[in-house]
Amino acid sequence: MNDEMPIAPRGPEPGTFQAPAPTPRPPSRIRNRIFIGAAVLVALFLIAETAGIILMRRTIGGSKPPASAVLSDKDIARLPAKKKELERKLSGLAPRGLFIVIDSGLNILTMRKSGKILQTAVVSCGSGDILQEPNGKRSWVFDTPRGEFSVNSKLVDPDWIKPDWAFIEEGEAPPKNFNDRVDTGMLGDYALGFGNGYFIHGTLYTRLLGRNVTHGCIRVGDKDLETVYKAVPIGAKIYIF
Amino acid sequence: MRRPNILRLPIVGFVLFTIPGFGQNTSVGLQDVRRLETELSLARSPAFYFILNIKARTLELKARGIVLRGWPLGDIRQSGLRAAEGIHSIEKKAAPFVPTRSKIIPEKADEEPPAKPEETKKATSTDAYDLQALEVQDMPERFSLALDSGLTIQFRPQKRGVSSIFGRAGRALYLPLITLFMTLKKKRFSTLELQFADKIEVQALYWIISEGQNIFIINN
Repeated sequence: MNDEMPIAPRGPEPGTFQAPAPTPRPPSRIRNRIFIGAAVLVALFLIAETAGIILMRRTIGGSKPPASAVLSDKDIARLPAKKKELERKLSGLAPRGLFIVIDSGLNILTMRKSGKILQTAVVSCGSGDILQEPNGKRSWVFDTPRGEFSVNSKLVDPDWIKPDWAFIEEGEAPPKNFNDRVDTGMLGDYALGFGNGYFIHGTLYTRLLGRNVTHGCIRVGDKDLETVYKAVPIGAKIYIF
Repeated sequence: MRRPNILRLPIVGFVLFTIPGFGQNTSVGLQDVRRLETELSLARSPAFYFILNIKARTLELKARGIVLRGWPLGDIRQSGLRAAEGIHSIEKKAAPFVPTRSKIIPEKADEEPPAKPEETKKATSTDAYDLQALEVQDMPERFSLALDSGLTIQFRPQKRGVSSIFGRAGRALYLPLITLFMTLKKKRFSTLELQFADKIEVQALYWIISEGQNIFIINN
């Protein structure tokens, strides 16, 4: 006969209940308050975001449309025709024939016609430097003028009639004799004048093409200048920006 | 028995509704006409003007209706009130620094005579020259424009990398809050940030843009 003692089952004795070890938790009232507070904050944030997004849809500024743009029902039926008419008017403002566009910052000249670029050339535009006369009476800013211009003269083998600043810059007094101002060969083979003594002309300083070095004129390389000179008529528009 | 015509109306309406573009023709046509009229009013003057198309992400410099130069835009960020479609005039151009012009001192010109034509004609490189000139590279890499409408346009190069992703997410959250805050303070607040692929494009724009020019903003 086996007289070993029976093994007692582990755990609570029958008829007793052992609660699990208590974990530290905040009282339910505080927990609820934290939850409600967080929910309120999130709600406020969402409301503020929504309000901000709605406000961002409002507009600021802008000009009113032209009076003629307020259309009646009859005009609405004529919208396609009106659109074509406006497009025609707008394209009518564009220059006819060849025109020149000069980017004075990038020193690029383009010759265009009807939206097509026919020729691109690297040029030199104004340096933006300031020259002050030693006695302080006069000063010059060597910028290439910007805006809309027209070719008003075309010259072959142009002479440069040196203005006062050309002498002052070199530390010389401007001569009284006109012939002392004439400098041949400096402007290349051709020149296209566009007013106030400004020209698109050639240069001896080809290594400086692409840089802002001039006194306001636009220097172009020989081959490009020849192409532009031969193609562009007097009266052609020049846009410089 | 014949079905009353009134019952067919919803069917006809549904069919028309499903036709792409139905109902938009009038509004789009009207919008096109208004835009053309606005541009025509600008193109009649010899002054250059800009067209900023926010939806198409393009900025164009125009004269007489022709595009002189165009720039594709990267990110566009609007905060505050939306810029209304129409003509805005540039009141002030501001940058962290204003590029300064060099002054020519005549006495120095004597000391450094210009190179002889015979010598320069042969040379093709510009490396040897340290020019005292105002060039595009000297322009600021970021700047802003204050427009007459109260709108501010900021120009800057495109930001790249992880920081830009976080920055974008952060802006999406805080811009509405700033807008609300400024509105509650009764301050007009409207900023448009235009980002460009390269800093040279921003510098070129600083070179080109001048106060008094008009910008036609297309914002729909």
